[in-house]
Amino acid sequence: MKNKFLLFLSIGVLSFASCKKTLDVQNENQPDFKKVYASGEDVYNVASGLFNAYYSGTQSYSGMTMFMATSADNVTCSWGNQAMRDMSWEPRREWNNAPNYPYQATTKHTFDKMYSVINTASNVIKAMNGGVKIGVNGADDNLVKAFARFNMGIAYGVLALNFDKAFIVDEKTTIPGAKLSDAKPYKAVADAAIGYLNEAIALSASSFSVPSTWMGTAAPVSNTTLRAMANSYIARILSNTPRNATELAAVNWTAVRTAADAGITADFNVVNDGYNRWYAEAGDYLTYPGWGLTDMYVVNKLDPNIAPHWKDDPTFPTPLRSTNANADRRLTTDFEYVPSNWLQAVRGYYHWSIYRHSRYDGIYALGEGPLPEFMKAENDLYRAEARAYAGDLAGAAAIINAGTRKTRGGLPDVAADLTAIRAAIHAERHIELYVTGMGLQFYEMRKRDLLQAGTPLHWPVPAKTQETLAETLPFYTFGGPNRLDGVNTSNKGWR
Amino acid sequence: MRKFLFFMVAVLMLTSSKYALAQQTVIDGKVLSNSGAALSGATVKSGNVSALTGGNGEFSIRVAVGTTLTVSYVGYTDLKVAAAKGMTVTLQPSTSALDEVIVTGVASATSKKKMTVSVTRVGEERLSAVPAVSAAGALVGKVAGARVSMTSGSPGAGVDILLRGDNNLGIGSSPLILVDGVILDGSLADINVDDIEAMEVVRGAAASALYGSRAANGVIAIVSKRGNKLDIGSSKVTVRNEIGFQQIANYIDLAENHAFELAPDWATQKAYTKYAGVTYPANYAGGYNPNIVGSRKISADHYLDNPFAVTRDLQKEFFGTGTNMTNYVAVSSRYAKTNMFASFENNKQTGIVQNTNGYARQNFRLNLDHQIAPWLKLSATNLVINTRTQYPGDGGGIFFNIVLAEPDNDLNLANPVDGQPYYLRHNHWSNERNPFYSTWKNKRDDVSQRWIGNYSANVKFTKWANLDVSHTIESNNYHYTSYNPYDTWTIGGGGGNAYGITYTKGSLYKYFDHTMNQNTQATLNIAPKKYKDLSVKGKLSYLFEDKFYENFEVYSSQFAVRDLPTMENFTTIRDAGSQRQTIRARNYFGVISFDYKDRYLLDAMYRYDGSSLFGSEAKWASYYRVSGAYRLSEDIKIPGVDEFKLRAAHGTAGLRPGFNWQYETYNISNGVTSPGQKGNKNLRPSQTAETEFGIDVDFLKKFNLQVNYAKSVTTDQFLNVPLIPFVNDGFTSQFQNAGTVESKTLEITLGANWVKSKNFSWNTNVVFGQTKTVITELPVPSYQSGPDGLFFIKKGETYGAIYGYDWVRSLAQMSKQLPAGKTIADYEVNNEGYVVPKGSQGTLLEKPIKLNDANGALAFVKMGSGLPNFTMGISNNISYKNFTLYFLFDIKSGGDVYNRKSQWLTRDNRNGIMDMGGKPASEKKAYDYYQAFYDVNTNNSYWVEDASFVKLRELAIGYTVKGTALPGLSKVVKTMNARIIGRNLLTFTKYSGYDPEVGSIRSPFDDTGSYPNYRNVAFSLSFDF
Repeated sequence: MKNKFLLFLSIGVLSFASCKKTLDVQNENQPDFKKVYASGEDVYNVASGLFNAYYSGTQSYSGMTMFMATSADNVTCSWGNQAMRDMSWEPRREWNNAPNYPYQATTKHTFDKMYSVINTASNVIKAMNGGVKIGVNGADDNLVKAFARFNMGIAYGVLALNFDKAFIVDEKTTIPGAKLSDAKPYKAVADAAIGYLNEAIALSASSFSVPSTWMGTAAPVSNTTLRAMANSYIARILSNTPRNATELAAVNWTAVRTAADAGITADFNVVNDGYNRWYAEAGDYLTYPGWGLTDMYVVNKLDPNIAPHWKDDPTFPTPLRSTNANADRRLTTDFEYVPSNWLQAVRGYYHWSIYRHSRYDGIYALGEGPLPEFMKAENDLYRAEARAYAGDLAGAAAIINAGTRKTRGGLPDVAADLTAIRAAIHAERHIELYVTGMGLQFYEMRKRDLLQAGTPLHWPVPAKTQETLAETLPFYTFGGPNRLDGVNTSNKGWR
Repeated sequence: MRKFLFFMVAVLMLTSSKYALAQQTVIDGKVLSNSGAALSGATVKSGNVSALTGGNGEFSIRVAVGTTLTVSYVGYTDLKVAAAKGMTVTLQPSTSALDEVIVTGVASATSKKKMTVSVTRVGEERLSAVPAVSAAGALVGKVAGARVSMTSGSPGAGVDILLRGDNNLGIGSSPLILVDGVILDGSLADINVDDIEAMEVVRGAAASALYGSRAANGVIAIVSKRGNKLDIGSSKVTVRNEIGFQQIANYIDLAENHAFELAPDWATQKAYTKYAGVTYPANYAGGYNPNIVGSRKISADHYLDNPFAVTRDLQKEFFGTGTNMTNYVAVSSRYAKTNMFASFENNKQTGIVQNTNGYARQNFRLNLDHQIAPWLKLSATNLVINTRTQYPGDGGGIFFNIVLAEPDNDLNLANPVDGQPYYLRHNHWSNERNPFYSTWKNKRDDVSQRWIGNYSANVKFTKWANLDVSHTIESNNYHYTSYNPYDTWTIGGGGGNAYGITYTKGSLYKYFDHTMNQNTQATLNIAPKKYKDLSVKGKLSYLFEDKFYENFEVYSSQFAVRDLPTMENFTTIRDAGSQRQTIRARNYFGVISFDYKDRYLLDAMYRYDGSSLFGSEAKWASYYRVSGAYRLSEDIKIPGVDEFKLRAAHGTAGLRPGFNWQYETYNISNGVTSPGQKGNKNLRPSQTAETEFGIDVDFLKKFNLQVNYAKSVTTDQFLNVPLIPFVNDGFTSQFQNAGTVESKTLEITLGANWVKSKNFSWNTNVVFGQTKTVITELPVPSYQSGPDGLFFIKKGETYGAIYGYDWVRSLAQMSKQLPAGKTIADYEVNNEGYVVPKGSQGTLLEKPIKLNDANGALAFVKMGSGLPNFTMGISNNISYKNFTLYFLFDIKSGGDVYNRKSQWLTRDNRNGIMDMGGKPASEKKAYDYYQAFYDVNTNNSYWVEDASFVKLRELAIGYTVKGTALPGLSKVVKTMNARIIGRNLLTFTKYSGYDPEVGSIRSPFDDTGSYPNYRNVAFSLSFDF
């Protein structure tokens, strides 16, 4: 009897100790789709992260920004990190689009982040189309929808500007069993981007306010400012899509002018928050002591007396610090003389420079403060460029002469002459827009046939993505001395 | 499931109900150990009649007086004696390896000669010869087929343990660790060795099947000492103190010359190297200075053969002599109904990096057993551990910066702005930071408190059935702080900061985690009386596992007030996070073992596991084992062979998925979500099936040999399969069960007792292991894995294969990839075996050429393998009178390491292979040659090195004195032992890094940030009272 009692007591205690607890355990750390899209409040919150993903894809260390700057001869840096060296060899080399390439993740990061924006924005709109109301009686519907379309537009814009092709999907369009051949050429992707931005513009007709945390701004962004931003991004995409001078000639400059004229009237700055959510890390590395120097090509734009290229020869005399009274004033305000080089001679003297960009040192030092994502100056340059190519040289010159070239650079007025205007725009993009929007100098060099021969004019769909799409090796790629077609790989160049 | 349990119970009941009765005289007696301790559970038998001894070693059996009784007890040699009333039988401990007793993974405590699977027991005598600094490293070189690798010299660091093959693609291969029955979640490195009675190593899924879905990598069970081995009424006190020194054994060969043009008057300057074309400010002493104008330029020949003005051995300056200290005291006693073992250990290891305190640990143990009633015994096992670790500031970066520093750099320069020591920018020509500054300025502090406890009761229902009920607890609280004071310098800020440095204004990071594992288990043990020649033992068990884990962390920067490291001292908190996890499992298992005529042995077991980690549609998984053995030598007498056993086993075990792998997840950060992974409701545990064959042989009364061959196949691997996000709602991946890995292992253990006499004894133990692992199925594209993607996962390939680019090594290869306009006559093979342009050797143009594949793309090829050809351990224990000598050689043959550190050093022309100083002109090479191999750190074959080694891993020279020989202490001290101990004393290798034992076992990779291993010489003095 005792034994039975003990047996049942033991088993009873054990059962009591454990049986109430189930094996169905919840994940308390990450939500699932249901939680994320359960209510209007949830969808509002999802939308709040869209621009941050875009910012990460375009401004973080992980993406393409750093090698685009070195391949454009805007920044020089011979460190291997993030393919900065591989994309700035002289002569240029091909983009190694193999899944085993050490820097394959750079293009993948930007590519994936853009699709993170696009997919999330699509889901937001899908939820809203399904009846989810945002805010009291749908008070925030327009805000969220406009913001979703805006971000889809700028994300497709990056895909159009940087890749030869991409997949076009949204809340209504999916690609079951997607294959590489389903990807659309960059012009179609640019058209899609502009379509979404135009939708955002239309939706921004009614009053709303984008919370400052959504875009990392110092203050909330009004619907009119968002509308202006959308217009500016349209101008950026239209103006920069051309892969060569031929395509440049075919740009619809009227559309650029319309968009840019309706664009921003003040810098769009993102307030970096001490390496937390908002951190333009690529810009930091492109200017940090010991890392990126200002390419001599740009130094030459600041002071034409200094040679635009450091010859790869130890006997090449070290250029002297500028003493040119007529040099661009920004040479001393935005740039800093570097008396001795930190880039290694063994990697080529052609990487050397005697200046670095110091304009944002105070902000990068602790990662804190406003950094431009889209400058008013950039928008003004689209306004001027559109006018110049449309034949309104006086109008173009007037805009430039009221802009940073004169106000900050202290340079004399530019004449109403297409060549002079083109040169002024070109220099401004290299000097004033330094480490702001992703790839601006690359796009500028590309459409003017100035990228050194062998530089890719855009990048292929990332290797790991092609692998997942079950493509077979070797994957297609661009760049290098054997592909000088002027369509995918530069066949000209400034030197 | 219920049917199975019913069946198991029925089988056990049936076998228990049939036992024979004898009609003879009642013989009462007692069985004692050689030390006089009562042996409870010893078997006394005559023919079919047998009895077990009780708690005091007493037995009674009905046989005729004078009948021959066989008395046996696990771990002791059988003794045949004539039955007599009031008899006392004293058993002697067995010296045969086959008489060792195994308790892990079996139905009940089983002598090794009755085992049907291979389990290795490493007893106290082998663990204590050179006590490892923790349990983590105690098994090095002692178990065949077990690889134990010290992946970091960091004081308090754990080790990497692999039993047999690494069969897992998406999850680690560490074995399941049990400490006194507690399934260990935390680090083994905190468990002290002095308390350990034995470690049992259960290799392979067949042997470990009893542990089901956690045991595919095998099991290591640690058993701590208790008071039950003492004589009743006696006690024992042990005091051991150890103090020793730690020193790096090997330095990396660095260049002591450079390739820059020297100023004509360079020899006049002794503080720094004066380069041509550079002007220096007056009183310049070194480090970055904004007034230096000009850049150093390369000499025309590109040879690193120009001297520095001063050549400091910076590695020697940086790595100091560390100390280690152990203070240990243990008290044990045994009374009629109660025994206890209590101990305390204080352990300190400073390590070899200056400005850090290293690791400190205190272990408190109390083990108690109390026999409340003849049918009820209570036991408690408690281990409380406090650790405090101070890692070097800035982590692994210091180990890179110290080898990048150039020989003329003065690391002790004061900061030119505020006078802080160790000027951050010690090298004007490089942006690397002064490693001394990092260790001095950044304060890091790790603290943990652990409690490991097992509380159990044993209830005896009948002579043949008893129930164990236990509740185990492992609780761990860990907190970590990293503090950078306000005036911590960083490079940057530019502008007005003349030296290009600025204060960070400080930062503070705090992390805390808490783990509470509570497992409850009930086990019904059934051991019916023997029926004729058949004995049956079994157990049925239920185990409920309940784990709770949470953490939180807070980070901020830019203190408002200086020198006040509190989170209140920030205007804003920059980052914070937290996590919680609950993991539960219910496991049912039964095991039954049959022993017929002491020679035919059969085991069978079944286990059914349910876990919260499995997908909702795959909540349960089952495991089994069938194993058998035949003691051939019981039937066939072979001359010289004392024991010969054949074994075969087949079993399955698994591994559980990670916590969130089954769930559909959105990443969340700062309140904002983004798509993460697609869920998988069907996610199952991975499944390893293993077949093992083995023999155990004792021969010539001196030798014992065990040979095992095992083949294991792991299916349902965890693969994080990439998805195309735009057709998967933005999700980028999903965990899926797919892929198969197979491994084959050969293990040999040979023990030899060469001599055993009163004054001299000598025994040797040799262990050998060889494993081949191949990926046999991979239904996803081949992919790179491990650090920097060095290890290539590909169907049909060895798991551990290192892939990357290769170099053209023959003219035949070159002829297939000739550039336009070139002929093969334009190339030659240089003195290192690489194809280079003809006539280029010794010039700037001598550069290797990358190998192309058939498509003309860069060839991506296998360039090595991390898998060794074999591993081996050879230990010898020699004693002569009071002297003892013990040494252990640990051998690894083959197995490559990718030496990334060497590759990085080439970037900065710091690699010793580039140093052309003192070389004849005909042998010189320009740096361009080596820089081509550097290749911006792409993975390439030049940096794959054979990491074979022979290590004198452990050495002890000891002297033992009995208390009687100690004047004045003879009544107090039983024995005194003094030893000189060496750990990691010597390494014989061709590997060029600090130590060939670097990186993990799976990913042998010499990163830039590894804390080097070091040697340790210590003096140990212990007393038994």
